[in-house]
Amino acid sequence: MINRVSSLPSPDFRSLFESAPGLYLVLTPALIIVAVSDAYLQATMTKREEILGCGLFDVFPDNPDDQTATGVSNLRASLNRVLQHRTPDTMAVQKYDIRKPESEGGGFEEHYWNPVNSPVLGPNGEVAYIIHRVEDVTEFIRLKQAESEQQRITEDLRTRVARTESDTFRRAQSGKQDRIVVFLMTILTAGIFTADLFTTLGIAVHLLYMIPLVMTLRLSYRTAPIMFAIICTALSFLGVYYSPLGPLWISYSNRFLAVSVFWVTVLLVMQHKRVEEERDRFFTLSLDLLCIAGFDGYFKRLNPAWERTLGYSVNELLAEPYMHFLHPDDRDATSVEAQKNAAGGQTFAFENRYRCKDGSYRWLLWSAMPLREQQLIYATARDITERKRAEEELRKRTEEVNAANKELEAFSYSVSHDLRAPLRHIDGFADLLKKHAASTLGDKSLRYLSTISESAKQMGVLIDDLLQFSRVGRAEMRKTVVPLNKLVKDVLGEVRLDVQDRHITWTIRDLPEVHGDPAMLRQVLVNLIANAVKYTRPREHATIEIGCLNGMPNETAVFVRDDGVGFDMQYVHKLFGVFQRLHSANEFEGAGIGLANVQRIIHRHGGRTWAEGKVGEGATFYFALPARKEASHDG
Amino acid sequence: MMADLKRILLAEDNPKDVELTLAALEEYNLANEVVVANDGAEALDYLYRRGKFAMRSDNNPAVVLLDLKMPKVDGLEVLRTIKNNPDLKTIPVVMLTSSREENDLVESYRLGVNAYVVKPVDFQQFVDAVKKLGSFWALLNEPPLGSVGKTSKPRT
Repeated sequence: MINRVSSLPSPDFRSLFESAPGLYLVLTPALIIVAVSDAYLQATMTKREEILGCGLFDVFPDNPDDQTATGVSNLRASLNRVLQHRTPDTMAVQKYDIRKPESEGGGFEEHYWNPVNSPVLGPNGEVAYIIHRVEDVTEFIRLKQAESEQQRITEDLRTRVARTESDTFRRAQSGKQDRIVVFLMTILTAGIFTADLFTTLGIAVHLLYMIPLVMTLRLSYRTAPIMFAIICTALSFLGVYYSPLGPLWISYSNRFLAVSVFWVTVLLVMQHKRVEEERDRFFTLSLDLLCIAGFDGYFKRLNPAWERTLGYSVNELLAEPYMHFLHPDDRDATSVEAQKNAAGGQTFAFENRYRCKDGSYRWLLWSAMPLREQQLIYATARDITERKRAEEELRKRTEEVNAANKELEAFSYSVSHDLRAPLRHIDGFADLLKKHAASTLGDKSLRYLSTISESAKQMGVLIDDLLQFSRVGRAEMRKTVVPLNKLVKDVLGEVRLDVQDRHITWTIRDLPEVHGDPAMLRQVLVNLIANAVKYTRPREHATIEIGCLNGMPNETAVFVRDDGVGFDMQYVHKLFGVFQRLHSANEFEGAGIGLANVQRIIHRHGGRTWAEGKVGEGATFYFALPARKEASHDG
Repeated sequence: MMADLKRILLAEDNPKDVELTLAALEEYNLANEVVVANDGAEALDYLYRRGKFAMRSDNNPAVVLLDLKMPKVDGLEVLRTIKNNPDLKTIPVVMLTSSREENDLVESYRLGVNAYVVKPVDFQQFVDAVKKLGSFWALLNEPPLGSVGKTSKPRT
C-alpha cells in the first residue's frame, strides 16, 4: 500500500480543495480568506481573485437594506468561539444576503446559510486556520416558511372556529337561566321518586327519567321539551298498559302523567317567555314606530322609536288621547280610519302628521290591524317626512319645468306667428313695388329690391328652422318599429328627384329595423343624405354610401358616407351645434340647423352621433340607436 | 268668367296682409267679390247679418278665409261658431295663417276646418297659394246647395 501510494504522483491539494463539492472558506486567525472552494464562489457569486487575501467581513458585509441582518455579528461571535475554545462551532441558520455582481444588476439576494466553523490546529495546538463550511439552506428555509405560513393559516382557522364556538356558546348562555330552572325542576321531580328509588322499578324509571334531563342539558331547547314530552307520555301510557300487573305501576303511571304535564307546562311557559323576549327585543330595536292603541283613543304601548321620532317620552304620549298629537287637519281622516279599525277593518298606507315636542310635524305612514275582542289596534307607522319633503320638492320642480315649457311654447308660438308676418310683408311689398315701378326703376334699384326680398326670405327660413328645432325637442315621440331599409328608400326617392342632373353612385347596404319615431328618424336621414348630396356638389362623380356598422352589440350604428369636400377634424365638435357652419353661405347654402336636429333627435332616442372627415376627401356621419330590448313592446 | 266668381269672406286683422291677399287675388282676377272683415267679431257679424252687415241681403260666401290670430274673437272661435251653427256649418272655411303650430292645426281640424294653409314668407309662393285657394273655392268648387243662394238670416 505504502509503496503504491508513494509511487503515485503527489496530488495538488489546492485544486482538490477548490473543486470539492462543498462550500468552503479557509481563514487565517485574523479572518483573512486564504482559500475558497469553487462551489463557495459560485454560491456567493464572487470571483476567487477578488476575495483571496481580503478580510471576510469586507467581502461579505450584511445587506444594508435589511435592518434585522445579524449575519456578520453572529459569524464573528462564532469565529471568536472557535479561536477561543479551539473546537468546531455550529451556527444556527443565518440569513445572509448575497451581494449580486453589478453585471447582474447589483443589490442583494436573500439567502439562508447553515455554517460550521472548524479550527485547524497548528503543531503547538494554536489555531492555524479556520475552515468555514456553509450549506446553502435557502430552499429548505423557503419550504419551512411556506410550511409555517400554512401552519399560521391553519392556526388562524382554528382560532376562528374557536371564536365562532365561543360565540355560539355565549349565545347559548342566554338560555342558561332556563337550564338552571330545568335542572332544579329535575332535582325536585327526582325527590318525588326518592321513596321508590330503592325498588328495582324505581331505579329503572329514574334512569329513564334521566334521559330527558341529559337531553335537556345537551340538546337545543327546541328539541328537548319535545323529546321529554314524548318519553314522559310514552312511559305514562306504558304504565297504564301495565297497570293490571300491580298497584305500584298505577301509581308510577299516574305520577309520570302528572310530572310530564307539569314539565310540558313549565317548558311551554319558558318557550313563550322566550318568544316574548325576542319580540320585545325587536319591539325595542325597530326604527318604525310600533304601537298598541285602545279603541278608547289612548295608546297602550309604544316602542322607543316614538321617543326618538317625536321627542316626547313614552309616558307623555300615553297620558293623552293620541288625537291630541295629530295635526288638526288630519284629525277627521284619522278618526274615520280609527272607526274603520274599530269595525274590524285593516289600515294600509294611511298617512297623517304627528306633532313633535319641538312643535314641528312628522309625516307617518300607517299600517294597522284591530283585535276586536281586546278592543285594541296593533299598528306600525313609518316616518316618511323626508320622503314627503322630497316628493314636494319634486312636485315643485315639475311645476316649474312645466311652467317654463309653457312659456317656451308661448314664445315659439309668437315667433311662429308674429315674426313671420312682417317678413311676409317686406317680401310682399317689395315684390309689389317691383311690379308697379319696374319701368321707372333702374337696374340698381331693382337689385336693391331683390336683396330686400332675399333677406326677408332667408330670415323666414331661419325662423322656420329654429321653430322646427324647437319642435323636435318638444314633440311627443311616437315610437314604433322602423324598417330603415324602407325609410332610406323613401327618402332617396325624394332626394333623387332634385339631383337628376348629378352623377351620384349610391351604395345602399342592408339596414336593420330600429325602434323609434318614424317621422323623426326620417328627418335624420333626410338631413344626412341631403348634406351628403350638398357637399359632394363639386364632384363630377360622387359616391354616397349608406350602411350599418357591424359588431356593436348594444346599439345599431348607421352611417352616411360621401366623398365630398369633407371637413377638418379639429372642428368636428362644432358640426352638431345650432347655427354652426363650416362653410360660408356662398360655398354651400344652409342655416346650420340640420345636424343640430339630427343630434337632438338621436339624443331623444337615447342614442349618439359622431362624424369623421378629411378635407377634400369626404365625410362620414354616424348615428347610433340603443339596441331594442326584446321585452319592450311599447311601440 | 267674372260672372261665375263667388264671394269670398276674408277675415284678417292685419291691413298689410289684407292688401297682399287682395293683390294676390287681383293678379288672377279673383278679387272682385271679396268681403273683408277686420276681426273675428266682424266676420261673425257678417255671417249673422248683425251690426254693419245687418242690412245685407246677399247670400253666404262661397268660402271663408280665416286668420287664426285676431283681436276680439280669434279664428278658432269663429270656426267653432260657424261649424256649430246648422245654417253656417256647410260654408267651407280655410285657415290662412302664419302659424305652423301643431296645436292650431290639430284644433282646427278637430273643429271641422276644410283646409289649413300656412302663409309662406316668399311672396311669390304666397301669391301661388292664394291663387290656388281662390280658383279652387271661388271657381272650381261647387258650394253646398242652399248655402250660397240662401238669403234668410241664420239662426243665432
